[in-house]
Amino acid sequence: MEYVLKTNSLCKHYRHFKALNGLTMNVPKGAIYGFVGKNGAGKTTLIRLICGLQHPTSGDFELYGIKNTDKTISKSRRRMGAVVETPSIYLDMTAEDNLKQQCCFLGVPSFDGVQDLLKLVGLENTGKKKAKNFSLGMRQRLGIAVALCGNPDFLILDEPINGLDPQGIIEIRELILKLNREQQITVLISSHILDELSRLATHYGFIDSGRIIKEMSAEELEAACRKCVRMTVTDTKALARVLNGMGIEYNILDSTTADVYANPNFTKLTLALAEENCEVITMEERDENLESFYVNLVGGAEHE
Amino acid sequence: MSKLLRADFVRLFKSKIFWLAMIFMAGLASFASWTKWQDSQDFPDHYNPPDGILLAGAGFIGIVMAVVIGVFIGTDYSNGTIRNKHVIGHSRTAMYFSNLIICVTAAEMIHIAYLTIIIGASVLGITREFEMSAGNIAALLLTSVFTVAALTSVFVLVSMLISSRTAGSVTLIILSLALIIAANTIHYRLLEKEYTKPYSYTITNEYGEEVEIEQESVKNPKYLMGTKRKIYQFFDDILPNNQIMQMTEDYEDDLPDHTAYFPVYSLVLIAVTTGAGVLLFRRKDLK
Repeated sequence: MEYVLKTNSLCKHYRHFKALNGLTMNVPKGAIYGFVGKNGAGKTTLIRLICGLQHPTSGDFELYGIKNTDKTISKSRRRMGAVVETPSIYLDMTAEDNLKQQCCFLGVPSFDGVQDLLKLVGLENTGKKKAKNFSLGMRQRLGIAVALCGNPDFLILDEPINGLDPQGIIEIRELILKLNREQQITVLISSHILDELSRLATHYGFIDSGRIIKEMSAEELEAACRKCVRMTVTDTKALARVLNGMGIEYNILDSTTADVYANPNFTKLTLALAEENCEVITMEERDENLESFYVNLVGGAEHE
Repeated sequence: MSKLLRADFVRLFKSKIFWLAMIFMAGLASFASWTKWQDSQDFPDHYNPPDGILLAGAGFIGIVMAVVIGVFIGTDYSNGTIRNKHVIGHSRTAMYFSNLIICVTAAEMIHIAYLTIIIGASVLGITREFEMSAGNIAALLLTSVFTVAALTSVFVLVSMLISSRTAGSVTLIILSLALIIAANTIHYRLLEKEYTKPYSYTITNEYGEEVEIEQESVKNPKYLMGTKRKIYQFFDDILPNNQIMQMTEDYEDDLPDHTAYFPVYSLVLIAVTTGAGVLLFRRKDLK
């Protein structure tokens, strides 16, 4: 498999605090790589290191096969666009001027592609409105447009949907999918909003305390996420007795709710519960989602 | 770096604060010329050349450039656009030099705007002719160009190392004021005479007679000597605001005239501040 980014035991220490602690990850070409971790896990630190904004304390990484210690790393960075934390835009300029400014920084000889980019991110009608008067979503989209100015084939987005309204989230999601599918841009996206990330990502990297605790494809995650039936009953103690008797795996959530794994014969189960004077109130088929997978994973890692 | 320069020049020329600074300095030059013209109208027989106001504007350029540089470089930090430049492959050294070149150019343009009006007013006959020869004026102007560049390089160093626009701007304004205060303190201390001038005064004694008392000259305790004087002299020669003071004020003093060396001192200051700035900026964590 061809990788756009490979990191090898990356460490970043701020005095006694280890923001990254031997992080190793691989971003395959063409992927939407979801970078999942709680606040302070080291997501933004890693992105800053890749962008060259900070230097690693130890370890290294390769961007398009070029090591970060190589002098030509700046050339491979030209193939990359990034929005780190907040969008990097001049607030006293219009959307068009921001893109023209970025074209100048990149040495793009003409501004022909500017209108297409504005159209791509849905900002073609902003006219003379300055970026400081844009909504958060518009600024985020402009930030992505700026990052796309040099036609990069690797895009890094740090928490791109933070603070956006539902409409803004949908717009950014559609934009990312469009860029990945139509322009084959590899995307590394970090986010707290796991539900949203699960709609996009083709690969995942779970980070905790500065290291990757699990790296997997979306298919692997799907296989790992177990299906279950969430049952609401009047007495989960009775339910536990019956399920134990039937040899079925389960997880009691509270006094009335439990997740039942596997597919039992529900007629038999209901009859057995009736004998225990326990009524079944609701039954709902559920997939274990990214969120619960992440919670289990991080919880497990914390107790290792 | 040419790409950075092109883009940053576009941003400079779109910057309102830059044009306001130009207008302020041009206004200052117009006001200074107008007062000279007013003097010549009020006292037509008194020769009042504009030599004194030629470089007076350079004294203000520190404060003006503190604001311009604080906003220009600070905006790159506050908007996060400094990250963009690095992410797309520009080296930190190139980014530093680009900002230095842009800011020095801006400072020189503002300086020249002031000078053009002062000299123009004299050439057009609004103010009197300069007492200095054309050659001396040219030498002084060339020297002042180096001095302004040195002052700007100090400000660029500070501004590139402070990530907050507000903190950076405030620091630069305080620094510009501190340099003015330091220039006055150092320069006037060097002007202290070694001995006080002898003087006499008359008193009336107990018999009603007037008696003249002669006071001999005594050693001035504020007079600097030895290593301390050399240190003061060093700073008086190398600090940009001190250079401007020496070029502006025409004292009949015992101080050695080092004006001819000022361009060299300025170049040394530019080299030192830029070298330190590039070194520190390359190690700086950009957020």
